[in-house]
Amino acid sequence: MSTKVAGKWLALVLAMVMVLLAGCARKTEEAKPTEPEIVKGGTLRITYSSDPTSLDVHLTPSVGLVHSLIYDTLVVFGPDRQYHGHLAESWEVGAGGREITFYLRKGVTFHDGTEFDAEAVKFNFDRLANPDLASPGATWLGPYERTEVIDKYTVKVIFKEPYSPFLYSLSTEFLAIQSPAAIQKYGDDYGQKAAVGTGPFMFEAWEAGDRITLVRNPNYKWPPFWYENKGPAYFEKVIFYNMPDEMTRLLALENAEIDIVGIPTHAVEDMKAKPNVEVYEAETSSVVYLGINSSKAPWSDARLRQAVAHIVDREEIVNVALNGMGVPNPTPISTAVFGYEPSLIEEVVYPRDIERAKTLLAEAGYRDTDGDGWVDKDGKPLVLEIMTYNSDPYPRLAEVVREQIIKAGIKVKIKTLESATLLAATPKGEHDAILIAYGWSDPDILYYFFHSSRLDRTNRVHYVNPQVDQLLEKARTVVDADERFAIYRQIQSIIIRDAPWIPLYTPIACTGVRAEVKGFKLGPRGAYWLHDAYKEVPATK
Amino acid sequence: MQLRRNRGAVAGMVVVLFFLLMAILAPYICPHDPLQVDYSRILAPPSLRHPMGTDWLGRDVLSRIIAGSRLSLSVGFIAVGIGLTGGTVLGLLAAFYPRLDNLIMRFIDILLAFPGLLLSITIVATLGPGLQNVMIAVGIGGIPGYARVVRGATLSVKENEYVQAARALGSSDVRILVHHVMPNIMAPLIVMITFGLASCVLSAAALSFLGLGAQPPQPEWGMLINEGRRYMLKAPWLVLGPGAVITMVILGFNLFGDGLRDALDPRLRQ
Amino acid sequence: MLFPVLVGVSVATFLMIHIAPGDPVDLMMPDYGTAEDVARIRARLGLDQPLHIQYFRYAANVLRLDFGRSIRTNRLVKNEILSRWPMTIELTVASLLVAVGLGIPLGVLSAVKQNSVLDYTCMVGALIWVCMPSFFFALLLQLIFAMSLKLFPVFGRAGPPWTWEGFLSLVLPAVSLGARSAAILARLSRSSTLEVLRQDYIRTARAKGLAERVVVYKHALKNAVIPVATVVGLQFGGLLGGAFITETIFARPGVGRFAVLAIFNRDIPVIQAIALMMAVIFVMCNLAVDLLYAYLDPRIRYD
Repeated sequence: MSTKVAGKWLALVLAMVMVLLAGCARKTEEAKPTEPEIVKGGTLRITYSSDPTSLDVHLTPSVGLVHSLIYDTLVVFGPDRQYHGHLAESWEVGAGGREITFYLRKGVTFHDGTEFDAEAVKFNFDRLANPDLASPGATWLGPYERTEVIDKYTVKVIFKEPYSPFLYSLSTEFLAIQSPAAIQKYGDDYGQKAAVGTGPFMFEAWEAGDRITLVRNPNYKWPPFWYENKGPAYFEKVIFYNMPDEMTRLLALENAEIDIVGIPTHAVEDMKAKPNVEVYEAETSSVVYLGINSSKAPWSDARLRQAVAHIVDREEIVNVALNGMGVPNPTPISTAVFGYEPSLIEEVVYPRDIERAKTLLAEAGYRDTDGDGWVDKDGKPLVLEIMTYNSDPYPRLAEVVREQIIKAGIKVKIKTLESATLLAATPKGEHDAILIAYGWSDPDILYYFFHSSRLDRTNRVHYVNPQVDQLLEKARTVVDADERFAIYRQIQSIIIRDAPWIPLYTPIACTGVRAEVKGFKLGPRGAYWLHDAYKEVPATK
Repeated sequence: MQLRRNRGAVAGMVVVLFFLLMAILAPYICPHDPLQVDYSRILAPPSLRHPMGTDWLGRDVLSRIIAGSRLSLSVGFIAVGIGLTGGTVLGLLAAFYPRLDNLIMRFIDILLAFPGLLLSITIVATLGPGLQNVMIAVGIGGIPGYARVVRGATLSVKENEYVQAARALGSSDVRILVHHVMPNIMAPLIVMITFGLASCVLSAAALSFLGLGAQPPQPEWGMLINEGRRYMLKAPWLVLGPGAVITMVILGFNLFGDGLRDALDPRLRQ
Repeated sequence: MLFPVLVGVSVATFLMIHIAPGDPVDLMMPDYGTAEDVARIRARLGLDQPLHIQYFRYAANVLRLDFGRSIRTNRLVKNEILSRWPMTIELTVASLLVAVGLGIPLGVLSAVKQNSVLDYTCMVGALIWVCMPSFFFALLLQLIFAMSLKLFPVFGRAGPPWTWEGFLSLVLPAVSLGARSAAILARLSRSSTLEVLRQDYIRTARAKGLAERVVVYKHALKNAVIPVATVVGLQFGGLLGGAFITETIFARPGVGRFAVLAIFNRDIPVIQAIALMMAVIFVMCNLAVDLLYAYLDPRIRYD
């Protein structure tokens, strides 16, 4: 090749290279604008273990997350453990606690376009209280008398007597506000084929046994104050999948088929080790306790119960049976609930002291007279038969508790029952003890467990104490928070001393959340705070 | 006896005897106390000290399996006993009193129409939990089988000329029963009992597995599998041990039953 | 024969559930409910009426094909069961396929190749799987194939069986449920094939020089099918009943599991409907087997 030709070739090649380079440069500049934009959105997938009875909060015995996304309540329980206004901006208590006037938020609309106003509130409360409806949630209204509409955004609720747990009732979904227009329109189908509220998500479809689908409410502008997002939710959809089995749910979380799932205690370690799952922990509103029948001999003798109180080792129970997923709690109120008073631990709670236990047993007449290792009286050994559920973790708990109690020479028999059988047996009062739990977010629940008027059902330990009765009744009428707290402190103090219950621990609930979900927080008592949460998805046109 | 020739049957008998001995001698041969907890050795893998490992309370699994043999086998025997007694009474009544026959056979059909496990669960729900009620529930499920066999054998014997003659001569029903019916049904009944033992042990284990039978801390085999299930990935020996043992016991009874049937069945004698 | 049995099952279930301690309404009612609340709802559901009145009302409704509403979910029992029925059928049919597809060919092959290594292996295997509890086998399968080897999902029903995920999630449950039936069928088809192979007309066919395969398949199988068909029919009923433990272990939705939950919840209308349904199926299965038997071999007279 001659030099001239070679030179021309070189020039051509150089030119091509330069054109290419120039083109590439331009491409990278142009590339940035054509990248898809990432926005906050996506579909949130959650599970539930069995279909809710109804999406009509007046017709269901229990409410859950799905109800709290469709509906709003007048009042919310904030991260500061105080009640704050939500659909109600403020309220005034009058007539010695028998009347509460609510000033409602303006500009709130239901999903069907109708306006939220005082009439809507009255409609809802009257419907809930209507005896023809036989609503399971009617008790939340307490001694409700009627509701008066003062003006479009002012409503007064009137009771037959002061009812201090009402603020708590208002913060539950049972007293959420549903659209009167929708209830009237859909009749019997409301709650099954339709559910209209003011919440951040709207009901779309419910395939029984399979899933419930909610879509974002684009007009939502009134989230609770602790959220940064003041407008509609980020998620476009929320889908609840029916997964009754907990292992299926865990697997689905691992495989990114589900975004948020409650994690049972035994799986917590494994889940924490998984790379794409965040585990959040929260103390629940529950207390697991050993309840001893206080009306039946020999355990009606308080000294025997107090002896058991001196024996139980709560740390051991939590560590061995629960892998640490619990907070030892010797008080009858959960550590996460208003009314919990840790100072009682120092003051009143019986410390672990086997010798003291044995002394108490002896005082009550029980000694090991025949050297067989078991204490007895008049030739009969002391037996504690503990009834408990046959579902996890109760049999394990019972076994660990049994191991502790037999060390003091008391024979322990465990009886695991189906819940139907267990709950039916307790009103009869023939049992020795039960190992069960309750979950409640207000100390008023103690009324149901310890008041003598509840012996036919929920006072499962058959505890009768007129002083406690009086205090429980008084606490229901006192509206001032500090005064209420003081009364419940006194009640708890008596109960801890008398030991009809030996509270063991407050369970810690773990929630697993996929790393793709950002902005998620766990509120008090394990509530899902979803309004700031989102997934990063490409923007759709 | 012909039985000895059937190697399977001999093997089955050996297995059955092995577990029967285990059940009888249980308190003496357990290396550790099956109820003794040890929180320092939770979920330990098999070792010299604990050949089958420990469970979630640190209890020795081998000891629990040995102790459990007593529970599982006695449930099997008593359940079969209940089925046999009930079934025999019903079968005899049906055969001797034709007026009752229809009624009793309908009752048997009804019992059979219930899906087996569902019937057991309902009975346990009604009577309450505990191994005694499991025995009753499983035993009741076995009644139809025995009733039919006893009834059939009694009926065929009744038609026998020899028997009719005896009756004409005034022999009471009871005598006929003892002298003619009993020998005839011994063979099939024994075979049924053997298979019945296997099936009752299985049903009882299934009920305990569902949480409806043994109460903690009883180490019934089905209950052991139920308890061990949640730790299966971390500690598979908790499930493998009891499961293998149940399989072996049932295998033993089945082999033995097969052999018995072959030996006692007149048609196969060649 | 059908009607008295159904009535008997229905009455017996009714009585047992009512005798069982525990009340469905009390169970559902949270702690803040009073005994009066429970009584009120029970009255609304008609649960406070005397037993015989409750039963007659129930029976009258059933005759109009109204099975009432679930106490727990307030939905029509008919719909609750119908929506779950296909999943259980899916599992039962799949396990039947496993049983027939695995058991019969292996049994026949073992008979044809009698005393070979295959024969011994199959028969030992069959013996073991007849004796292994299905729930134990299910746990083993879970442990080995799902948790350790991760070949199949551990739990759940990932979709209808004609999808890949759905199919995968059906494999372990179907195998665990069908294994015992497969073992029984293997032993049965082996012994009946052996018996048939010894018959005169088979020897005649062989002597005539027909190919071994033709001999086996045409004559032996056809006659071996009769007892096998009997067993298949009866196994179907048993599989249906056994499905529920499998459904529970593998967390599959289905009628079996629903029935167990209903018993625990004392959901009376549901339990009654399912018991009745099972009884109907049982009777139909028996009838079908009887008919099939008569059709396949009219020479045989049975009692």
